[in-house]
Amino acid sequence: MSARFFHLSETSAGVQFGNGISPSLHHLVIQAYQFFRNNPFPGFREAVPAYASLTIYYDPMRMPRYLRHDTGLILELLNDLLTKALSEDEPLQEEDFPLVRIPVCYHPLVADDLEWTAFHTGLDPEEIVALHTGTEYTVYMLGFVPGFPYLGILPEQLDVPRKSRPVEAVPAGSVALAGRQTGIYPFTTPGGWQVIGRTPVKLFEPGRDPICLLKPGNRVRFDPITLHEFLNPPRI
Amino acid sequence: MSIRVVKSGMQVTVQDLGRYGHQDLGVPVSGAMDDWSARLANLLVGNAPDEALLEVTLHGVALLFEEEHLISVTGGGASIRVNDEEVPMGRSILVKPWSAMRFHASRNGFRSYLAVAGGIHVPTVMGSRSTYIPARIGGFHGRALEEGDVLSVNAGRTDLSHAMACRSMGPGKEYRGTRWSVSPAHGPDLSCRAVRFLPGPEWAWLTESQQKRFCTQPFVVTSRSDRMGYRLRGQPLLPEQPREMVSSAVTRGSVQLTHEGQPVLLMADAQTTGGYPRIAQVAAVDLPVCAQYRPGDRILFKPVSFAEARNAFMDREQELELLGKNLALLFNT
Repeated sequence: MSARFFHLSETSAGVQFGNGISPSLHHLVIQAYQFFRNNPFPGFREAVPAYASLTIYYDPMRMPRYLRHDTGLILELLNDLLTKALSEDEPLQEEDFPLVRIPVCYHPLVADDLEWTAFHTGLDPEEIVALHTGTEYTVYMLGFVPGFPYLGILPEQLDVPRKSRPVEAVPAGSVALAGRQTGIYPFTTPGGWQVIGRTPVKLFEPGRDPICLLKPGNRVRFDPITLHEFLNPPRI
Repeated sequence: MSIRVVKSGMQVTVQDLGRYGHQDLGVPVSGAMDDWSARLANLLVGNAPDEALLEVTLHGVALLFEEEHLISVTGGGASIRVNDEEVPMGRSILVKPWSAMRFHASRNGFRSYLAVAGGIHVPTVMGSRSTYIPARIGGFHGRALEEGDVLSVNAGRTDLSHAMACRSMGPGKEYRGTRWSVSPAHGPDLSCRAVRFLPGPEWAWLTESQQKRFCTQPFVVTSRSDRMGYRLRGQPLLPEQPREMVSSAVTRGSVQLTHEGQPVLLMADAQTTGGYPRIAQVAAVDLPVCAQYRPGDRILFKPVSFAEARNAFMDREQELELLGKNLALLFNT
């Protein structure tokens, strides 16, 4: 394992494990993420996982005095903690990252780019749905907007490029593809991914507990539903 | 204890110092754009520095105080009148019941902060009272204030707020102000056009001549700028070979380079992750200055070492801490 530390800002440091989307890199990220959350050092604010990096936010004013000005020492401290985090080598607890099943309607009425995706991949819409629902995904990270999950790894046959020009308003709940990733738009926002379906489930809902449906490391599976089921979702 | 919004102007939101602890779910930090002025405003009325207050963008706002309130206004972008009498910025002010406060145009700055002793009463969402409009969370019903809104003020004031309201209030026709104030030198320099930056993780993606150009050519703040970030415009900086990177963390102050080679400076509502190269990171001490830029203003980026930026940051934090302590001493609380 070769991790590179760097200062992102005066109050944050990044750890780069590599570059790319891979389960082994992500395993390191999640292991470190869990460790820092469970063993916060004085001044620790939060840890934010990404595909191949983890960013640690801290408040220097709440750190021991000797660490406040010696900025090299902070990176050393983080490096020591990371070494500890990864040496413990405890397998990640499955119950910490439960499987979440998300119903998706793949009807063309709510899947603007399904036809394009079929054309681009040479697959039938039914094959696309079978591939998309036949895979178990991991939440690699959340970002872009609150609750937007970056899910991987998408089957190679579904690898499609982003749109060259983002769409002004992608409807909330849209399930979309880009490269070897799939994701879900929690809000109606601009977006450039290829939309192949829509879920009635709210990914981010203030007032609900939890507000955010998915967390980094969660496993996800999509279940196909009909347009009728989409329009009349059962009350949970 | 309430404040009525008579005119909502360009944008008024409730903010505190931000929502930490949920960036792993993609929830931005938010909080006051100019956190320096926000903290000064709170200290001036005896509040904790992270109390909820109003962030007012530019002018055109009118408020009605239904009771007597101890308030202060800091930052830029407006001049303040209470019942048509001009009120100084950076000073504790006791306004009488049924006073009207108006935010008029001023030459410098973009955002002012109105603190009220006790703080604005709004629910805490995910650990903060800051408004984040895109997800409709925090602040006043997750949105900017509108005409007719009535804000409540927390009834519980600190001992310091009480002491400030009772003592050393000078005479005034429409309001009573303290004889002392915080010098503007203790807040952001509204005429400053140079901001310091640290090289970002992808700084090396620029050629040497592009790096030089980034430090010498001024960038214009375009009108496509908001609390999330400023789109800047200059001569494009296009990497010689387009490179792909996987999404990774960005934060307030990160300068990303778009595919068109134009920088985007991320601000308070910055998204938590991004896939564009992070060429620079604006020094935290200079972000309050950036928060006061208007569309059309020019920014000049000046390189600084990490140690220098960090020391300047710590000095600022200690100065604010000291100011709070001195105020408490001054009022014997």
